[in-house]
Amino acid sequence: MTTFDLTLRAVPVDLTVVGLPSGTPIRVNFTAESPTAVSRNLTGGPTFSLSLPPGVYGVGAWAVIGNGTRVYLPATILNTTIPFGAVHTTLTLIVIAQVNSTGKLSLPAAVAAANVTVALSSPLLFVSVNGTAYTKGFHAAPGTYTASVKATAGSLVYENLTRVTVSASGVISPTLVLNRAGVSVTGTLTDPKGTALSINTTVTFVGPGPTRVISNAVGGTFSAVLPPNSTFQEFANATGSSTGPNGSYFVQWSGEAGQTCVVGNSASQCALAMRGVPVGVWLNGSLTSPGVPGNVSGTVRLLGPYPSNNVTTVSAANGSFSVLLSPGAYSVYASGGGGSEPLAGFSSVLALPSAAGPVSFVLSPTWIDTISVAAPNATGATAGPATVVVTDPFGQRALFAQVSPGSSVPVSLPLGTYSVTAQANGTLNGVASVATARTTVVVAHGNLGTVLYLTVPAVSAVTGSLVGPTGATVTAGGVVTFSFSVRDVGNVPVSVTPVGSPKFWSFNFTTTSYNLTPGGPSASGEVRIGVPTGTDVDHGSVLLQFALSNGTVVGAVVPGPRVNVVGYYGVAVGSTATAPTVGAEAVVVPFYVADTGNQGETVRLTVADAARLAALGWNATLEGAAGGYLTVAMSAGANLSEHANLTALTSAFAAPLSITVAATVLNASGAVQSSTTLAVPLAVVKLPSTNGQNPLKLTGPSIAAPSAPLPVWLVPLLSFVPAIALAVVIVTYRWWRTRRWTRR
Amino acid sequence: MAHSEVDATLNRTLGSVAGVALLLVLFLSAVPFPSAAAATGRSLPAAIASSPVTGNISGPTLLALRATGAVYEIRGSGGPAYAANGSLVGNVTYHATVTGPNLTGVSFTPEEAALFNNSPDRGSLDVGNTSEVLTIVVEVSSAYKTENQSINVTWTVHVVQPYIVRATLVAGPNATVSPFTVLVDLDGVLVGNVSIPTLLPNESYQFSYSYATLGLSPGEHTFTLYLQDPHGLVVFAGGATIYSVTFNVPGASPNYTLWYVAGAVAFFGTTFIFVTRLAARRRGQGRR
Repeated sequence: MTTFDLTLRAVPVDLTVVGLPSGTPIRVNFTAESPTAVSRNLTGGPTFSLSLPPGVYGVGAWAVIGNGTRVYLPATILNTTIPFGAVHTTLTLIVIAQVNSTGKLSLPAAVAAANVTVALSSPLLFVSVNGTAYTKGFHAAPGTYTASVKATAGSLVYENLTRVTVSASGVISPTLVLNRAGVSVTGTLTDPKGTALSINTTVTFVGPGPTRVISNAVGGTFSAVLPPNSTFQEFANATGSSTGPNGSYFVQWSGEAGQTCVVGNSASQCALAMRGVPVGVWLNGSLTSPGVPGNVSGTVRLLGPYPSNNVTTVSAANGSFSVLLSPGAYSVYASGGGGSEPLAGFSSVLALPSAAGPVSFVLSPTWIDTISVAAPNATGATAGPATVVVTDPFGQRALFAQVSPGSSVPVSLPLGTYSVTAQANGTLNGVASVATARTTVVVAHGNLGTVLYLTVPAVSAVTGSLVGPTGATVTAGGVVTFSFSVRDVGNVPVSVTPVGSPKFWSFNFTTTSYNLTPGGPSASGEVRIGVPTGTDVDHGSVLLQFALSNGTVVGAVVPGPRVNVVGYYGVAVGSTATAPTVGAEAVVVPFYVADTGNQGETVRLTVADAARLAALGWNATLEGAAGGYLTVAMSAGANLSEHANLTALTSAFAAPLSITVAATVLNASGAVQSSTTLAVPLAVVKLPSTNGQNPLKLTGPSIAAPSAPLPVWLVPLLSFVPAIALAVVIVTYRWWRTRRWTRR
Repeated sequence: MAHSEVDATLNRTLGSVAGVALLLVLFLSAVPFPSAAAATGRSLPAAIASSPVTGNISGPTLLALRATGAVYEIRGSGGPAYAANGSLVGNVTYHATVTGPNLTGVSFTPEEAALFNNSPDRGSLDVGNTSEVLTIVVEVSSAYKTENQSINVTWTVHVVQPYIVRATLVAGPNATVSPFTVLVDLDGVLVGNVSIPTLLPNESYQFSYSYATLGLSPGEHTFTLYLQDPHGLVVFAGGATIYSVTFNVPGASPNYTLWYVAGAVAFFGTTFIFVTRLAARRRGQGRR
């Protein structure tokens, strides 16, 4: 492996010191503030030529005249960066003549000079020293300053703000007196919507005198100690970032003009509203076309940033362009190539700080579509210049403004299908309207012409307003009357019918149809509104509307009449269709409670016969109850399902048979109540049988009907039958043989 | 009166060789299986390293046909898997198999599982549709590193056709009935219960109670259903407190063998007497 030593190439630097008397040498210090930088000290001037490697430098200077009573110093150290790749750097350093200055302080006993901060600020110089240096000597340019003196003693902050003058000899007058407490002021930077801005910047307070106080805002929050009972103007500038629909960009924030901070006797809040302006982004690009060497001259139309329809047209005479744009997304339509061979193309581009490098728009051969706009031909319709928008299949648009009716605009379009629209301000029957036209263009072969016929759509619209009282109070079931007027605010004559809502209310209009013309006189009418019995206090809005013959509502009386219904309370309880749930020793009985009034109410439910049930051996409660009662909030017409629970206190109890539930409306102080007695049945379980047979069915092994046993003597008797029969046979045989023997 | 088992049959079978054989078979089946009991000692020895592996299984010995999910607890301890201080250092596992004449529909799950620190593992036995005697054979193994000891324990299960009491329960129309329990007596002795779920009004529920037994004594028996809480708000319709069904189990036929023998002896004795008298008469006639 070969190692190459790389050495930074030094960059020529020309430094000019301004503000120095002629012939006065000055010592200049280049202090390295980055690894690649190299510190250098030079003497002479007022111009210096040297070479420095790239890096970050702090540049200071010091010149002394006479015996040292006057020195020349820059207002602050000049911080500069010599970038890598730079070929030359020119610097200018302004020095200010400063003298050894001293001033006097009048301090409270508890404050030492070393603990005092004195800041002198002027448009030219800002110097901050402690009280010791202020009284012993420090360098400052002769002139007038705002002196801000601050010191802290315990929890007390002393402050003074005054104008002082540094004389040519360095004497500061008047004496700075620190004898009063300052007021702590805090504030935030906000955008025009009041949202806090998280940016870092410097806030300047300018008070009478004028005096100036500078505060650093960190993360959009700033603080300062200012004199009590004073008013300061606020100024701030900052650069921040913001996020739009297509990405982040920079915003230059400036304080709104005329903002002041009013300081009272105690800690004060001062917000500083900022107005932001997006920082423009340079878009560099070129136009090219396949087959055409180099860039193509032409014109670029940038539409945006989205969703704005602002058009920025930039010429690319030599095929390239550079334009400063508001950050955002743009539709691009570029054309060029000349009349004999027109070229064009649609594209899109993001103009954002993060967007990479130059862009190139590719133009394609086109045909020319001559788009013309035709005035509306309807009677009474007119249209002004139109805005024509051509949209390619990918949604990229080209906009052509101020195309007057009867005129045309030639647009070079590559092959493809385009949507072409036109929109113009117009009138119909003397009423301002919007005229529109839309068509689709297919560019395939040859030039073509497109005519956009503007039409002004007919708008049927009326508006009404109440005449006289706009509200009334009525009891449910009563009637109220309102008067109103109605006029045509559309662009065509209309015939409308008044209708009312809510639908279940009755609306009787004195006039059932109105014929109105655009810009014509108003018509008047009256409506009697019947409020049904039981109407809720919180009924829906009452609408008086106007409908066309096809039922389309085209307007209403705005605002509608206010009908206040007098409220009343009511409650009902009862059994529900759901059967109680009965267990051996517990019962749950459902019931309903209904708000029969016309407004919301709070109902307290109790078991009215809890004592009777306890005597029968039951604990009776309501589900969800606390402290012996259940409280429910109900809206008008609400119907809630609740449950009464019965639980046996012991194993010895009597059937409860019933339970009584009482309901009381708390809003009516007990004047409205209801109760119901709910049956508590036994849970009967049946074992039904058919044809009187045992409802229990049994199966199992060795089940048989009982059989009648044989007589005990039968088998023994039968077992001797053969022997007995044999004996009978033998005896008979012997008898027969004996008798025969006798006959012989 | 408590129902009696089939041991009484013995009284009527004495004197008969076949009856004696049948008695022997039934007797052996009625006693509580001393061989199985010996193999499945009820207590486990302390688990120490030097103790041999032990195991046991317990659970029902009588199951109805097609019974499913019968739970058996299997324990194992000892052997090399246990250290001297009784802590489990190895693996104790069991492997269960079921033997029997007809294993259709018979299964024991899980067949294999680990046993931890004397905690029983629960196996589940499903049986088929055949009345038979099954044997659950459980091999308990204790292993640690290269050492392994095992022992077989068995449990005998009789699968029998049960008595099944069925009925249809119908809730009344006025209430939803909370879950309640129906108790079942056999001849006045509580033999089981059935939990009835919540019944909506007019909802019916098919009640079924299965009673497995090795047999009932001959004669009449009665299954009785009644409510667990007879004084509660859940009642049988019509004021009934119980429902019962009575059935008869026939006994063995009387033994008439002695009478048959006596009849034969009488027959052949008569014949013998007649023949001997006839022969004597003929000999007397010849001398004349």
